[in-house]
Amino acid sequence: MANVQLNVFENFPVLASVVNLVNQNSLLVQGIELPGSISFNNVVVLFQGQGTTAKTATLSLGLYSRTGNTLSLANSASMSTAPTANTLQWITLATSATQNLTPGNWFLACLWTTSGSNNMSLAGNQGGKPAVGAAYGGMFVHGFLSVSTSALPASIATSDLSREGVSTDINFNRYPYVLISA
Amino acid sequence: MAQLDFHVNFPGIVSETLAVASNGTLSFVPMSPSDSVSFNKLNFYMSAGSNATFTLSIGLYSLTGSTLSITNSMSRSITLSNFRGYVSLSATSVAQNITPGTWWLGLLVSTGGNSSVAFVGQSFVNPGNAFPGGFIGGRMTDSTNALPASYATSNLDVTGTDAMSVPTIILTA
Repeated sequence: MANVQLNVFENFPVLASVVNLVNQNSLLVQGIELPGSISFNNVVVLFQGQGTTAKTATLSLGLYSRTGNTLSLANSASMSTAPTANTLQWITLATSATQNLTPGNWFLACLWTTSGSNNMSLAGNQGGKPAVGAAYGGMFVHGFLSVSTSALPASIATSDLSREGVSTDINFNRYPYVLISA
Repeated sequence: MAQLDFHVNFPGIVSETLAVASNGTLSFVPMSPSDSVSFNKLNFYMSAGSNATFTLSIGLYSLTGSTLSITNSMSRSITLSNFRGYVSLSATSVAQNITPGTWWLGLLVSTGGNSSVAFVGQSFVNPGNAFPGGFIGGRMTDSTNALPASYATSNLDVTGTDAMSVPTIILTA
């Protein structure tokens, strides 16, 4: 397929609903397939906060490439917000470097932490009843880091990632909606 | 042109239990990788009741005109009990790096009469008329015990939930 320059990429083609990403310090990893090149510049999520209690949410989004059995951090974006009223809004993440992503597979890794109140969430994939009987085989596609972390790792061994199919916790099946626009 | 390591048909996780697979009924669902990917390991999200023994046969088909033609296949016989997870197949009949574009997976479940095997994925609403555009998937109305070498899309049922629902598929190199 010819390499085309995309203006928009969404990790989900349809925005399902607002979900709570409650697994703080758990790195959720979602493999994506870029059908063309796109500038990793304007990276946007949809944030919801409720109530007037003081609170802060921080999202770190890592962009990883894979070589063999290792994911390597290629770029990142982050945001921190402290809403004081009910809100549902787009938030643009600050990217560490502008990069024109090439077509193919990449991995988005989401690290979500809150303080003060848990009444904050991101729009994303609702997930659903998780597969628990057996994980998918072959190369790693999506799952979560099996150990807690407070920062995006520079590299991740895929053997340290738990695949969908091994956890009954629905929260490990939820990924935030991420929209990249040139 | 990139070489993909994986292709998933649903970017997000969808997990509706679809209609119970009918013994010997072949369904065709689309798979459209944006770049080349090795047809190596194919995973289906499935559910099964107690002591469900079945054979899952998967054909990879291309579409020319209105004829589906088989180019590759996988098969696995398995017994599952009270199961909800992934079933992996890897025995390709021919090593193949599939090219970008739309391919068709023919899904044949031979249950031997067991009635508790189902795919899990995205269900579909139940329109009363046949899909009016180009072929987007469908199912055989006749029973078969083997993957056909070719099949005319005009002979497929393309009406309603049972014909349109699509299971979760993960293909990896």
